[in-house]
Amino acid sequence: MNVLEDARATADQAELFSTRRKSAYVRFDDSSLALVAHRNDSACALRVLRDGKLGASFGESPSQAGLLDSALAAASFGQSVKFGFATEQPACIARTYNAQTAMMTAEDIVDLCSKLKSRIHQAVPDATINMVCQVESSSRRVETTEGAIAEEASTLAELAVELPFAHRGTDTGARAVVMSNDPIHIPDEWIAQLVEERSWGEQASSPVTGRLPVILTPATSNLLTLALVSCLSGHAVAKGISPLLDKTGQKILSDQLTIRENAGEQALPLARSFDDEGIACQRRTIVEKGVLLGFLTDLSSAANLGQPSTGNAVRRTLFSEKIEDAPTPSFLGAIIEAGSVPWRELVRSLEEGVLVTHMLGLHSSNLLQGQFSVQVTGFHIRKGKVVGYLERTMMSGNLFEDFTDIRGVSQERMPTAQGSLAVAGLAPYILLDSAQLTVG
Amino acid sequence: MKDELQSALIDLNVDYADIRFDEEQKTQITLNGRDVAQMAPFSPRGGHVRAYVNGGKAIASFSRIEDAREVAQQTAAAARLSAARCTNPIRLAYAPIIEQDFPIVSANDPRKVSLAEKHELVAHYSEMAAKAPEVLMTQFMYGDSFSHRTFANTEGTLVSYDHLIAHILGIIVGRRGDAVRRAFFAVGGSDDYSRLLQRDELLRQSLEELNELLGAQSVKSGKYPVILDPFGAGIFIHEAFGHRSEADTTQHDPSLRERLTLGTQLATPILNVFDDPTIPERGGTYAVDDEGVLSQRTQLLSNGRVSGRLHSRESAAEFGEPITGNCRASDAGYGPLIRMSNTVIESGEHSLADMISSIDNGFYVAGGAGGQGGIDFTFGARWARHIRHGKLGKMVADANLSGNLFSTLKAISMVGNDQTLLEYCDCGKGSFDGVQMLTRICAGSPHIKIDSVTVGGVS
Repeated sequence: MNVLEDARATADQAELFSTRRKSAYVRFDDSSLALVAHRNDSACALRVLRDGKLGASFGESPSQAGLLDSALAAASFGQSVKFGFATEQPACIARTYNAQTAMMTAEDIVDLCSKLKSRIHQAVPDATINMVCQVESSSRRVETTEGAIAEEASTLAELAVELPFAHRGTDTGARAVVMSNDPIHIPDEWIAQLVEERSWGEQASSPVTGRLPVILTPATSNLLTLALVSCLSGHAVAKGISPLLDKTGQKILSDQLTIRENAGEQALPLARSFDDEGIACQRRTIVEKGVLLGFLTDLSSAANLGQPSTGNAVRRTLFSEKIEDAPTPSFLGAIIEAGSVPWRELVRSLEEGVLVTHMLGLHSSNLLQGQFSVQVTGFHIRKGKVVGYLERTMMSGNLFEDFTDIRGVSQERMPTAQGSLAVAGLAPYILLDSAQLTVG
Repeated sequence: MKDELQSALIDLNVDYADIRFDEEQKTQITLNGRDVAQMAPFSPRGGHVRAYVNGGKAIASFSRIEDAREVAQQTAAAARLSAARCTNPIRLAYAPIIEQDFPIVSANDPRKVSLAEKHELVAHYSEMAAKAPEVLMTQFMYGDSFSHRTFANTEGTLVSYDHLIAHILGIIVGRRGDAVRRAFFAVGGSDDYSRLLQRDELLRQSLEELNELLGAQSVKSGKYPVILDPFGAGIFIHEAFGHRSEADTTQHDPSLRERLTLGTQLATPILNVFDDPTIPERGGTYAVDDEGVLSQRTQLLSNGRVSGRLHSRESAAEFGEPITGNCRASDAGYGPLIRMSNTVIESGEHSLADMISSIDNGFYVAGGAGGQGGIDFTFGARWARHIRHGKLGKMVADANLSGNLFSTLKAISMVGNDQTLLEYCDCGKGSFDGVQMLTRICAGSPHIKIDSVTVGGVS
């Protein structure tokens, strides 16, 4: 029995969100194959509106007994909501499925990793290699009683390699990640950069406490987009707590920063055509040369603001990998425009500064106000050259102060992914004029 | 269920295999201000298989019990593939065979409370917070989770065991002028529903903290002596040391293994730390882990020396140390990892007044805004209060602390006599298929004084 058909008889409206996922994964520890894993699961979330009140329930499949009854029971306690579920059919334009990727077996992945291991060992025979590689096929579907049906299949191959520094016990090492909808291809330059980064880890070198120029790698641009999500969320705006509340049309960041939301961008490995409420994703400019142009909404926050949804609902939060969280607004494809400078030129331009490759503890910061305070790993730069890896270094400040003075944005961009938020992105290297570094 | 799991393991032609199936009942109520953002009772189910062949390992997760046999056979085949390519064979330490059931018996079982009563309770706290002056946004979440797990392995262990936990979490956001600050409310963290009731006083305290925080200046970054409250100290010991007591986080790092050799003087001699899943009715309490190993107390630091670490059967074999029963999975979607349970700093002899009077220029730090740990760790404070010339002063905001495991443990100069076990806590840890969030744990500590910690704030 179709749960939505049943819902038509007992609820005013209903929405069914469902996912299927099949993956194969291998892990190498200390250059040796340590694990082969498979996953095959499904999940669904049913939301109903009855008498204008919202209720939800979850299960492994739409046919699971009790799904509708649970959602209706929940709705009987709900307060009135101002929105209805999606009514229009979004065009599914994202091309994220590759049949060749979907066919890859665990044995294929082991072969891929073994060959990569050999290539790295040719360059650095003594390197210890830790490596994980996962290939996933998945599908996502949203159907409502109001006529919207949207379904998209995707494949994703992810490879992460770590070469621990020779002086281990530091939690640091050279790391690189590649993500693709297509089967992974590793160019020689990718290996060369990884090996070069490992060579930077021969000794520790930290600056003294104070303000210094900071280069953020594409991966650590999360600092910008994750903090911005808190402030750009339609909920934060509707409740009046966003520091950007009355700043539309005003300059909030450096004029070197342009940030677009375009989840359908083909260069994104996690591209998508519709959000988790079945609303078509839009190509929008959120920040144009530092000037704020718009916010991110889901159905609920958009209704509270008296606007249509921007199609930015996601069913995962920072600390969940499940679909059991209520939809919330987020970037789904955060694209930071490239600059004109090669990233190595940004490094060469520094008399002294740091290159930040990873951060710890961003979630503990008061992001709602743009505050950040994180422990960073990366490298110390002097006279345009890397002189060692950072130890015990904390970076703190405010997004709307430290990102207003930017020296440069690189011409190179790399795909990024805030995995637990399902947020895809493309980001360049960004050179901040300065940020506060506290060295312990 | 037991028969189905045992059948799935027949004739796999492996050295070892186990299978687990989880049947859960959950309730989740989320209130944004006075509005019900989401209310949902739900019942996820799923299973997980592990297989070992000639030192090779494979795992798999699945949703439907009908697929158990097929998934077990595929996993056995994947373990043979792994064996053919691995150069560091994986072994398992011996574990006694158990055939027993471990049901939860709760005097105040949250499953016996109606959805209406749960909604009324969380709505009461949400309403109380939303009415406070300068509060612009609140989010209160009620959650309870009952998990019935059944586990079987090819050695003959066959157990079923339950987990039950209920909690309420609240985030309260206030604004005064340009200052936007948050306060937190967390109660519960056990199978006892009554712990969620009549907690208005704690919420009032959170609202008073928020009121003061809205007028507070941001902390000036630097290195300071700090006193951590039991919440902060509990998070500190969890993030800074606890994760490095999990053997899988050091297993592949020879240098770190050497630095954490049993008997090493790692911390100040006044520090004693243990992990104990047998403490009754706490977030990290359980009878048996997800490898079918009975839970037990493990002393981790004795007078500052490393005296034990937390193990799975794999890591115990690798280290040549006893199994400890700490291998747990968040839910059926994941394989078990080594996890802390209830991790506690033992009481010392100092009073809080002694600690405050010993500081000329430093901070009293109230923890609770999350943390992250490796050899270097960081965690956020709910708030901090300046200490000048031995006296508590004004509250400061945006204090995040960071440090290094080795130097910070040696910089603990005073341990309080006022140990407190925290209420609701959870922990995330990376695994092959993402981060396993929301594994229930508990931390506990008295106040502690650390002579020097890096505090991130404004320049």
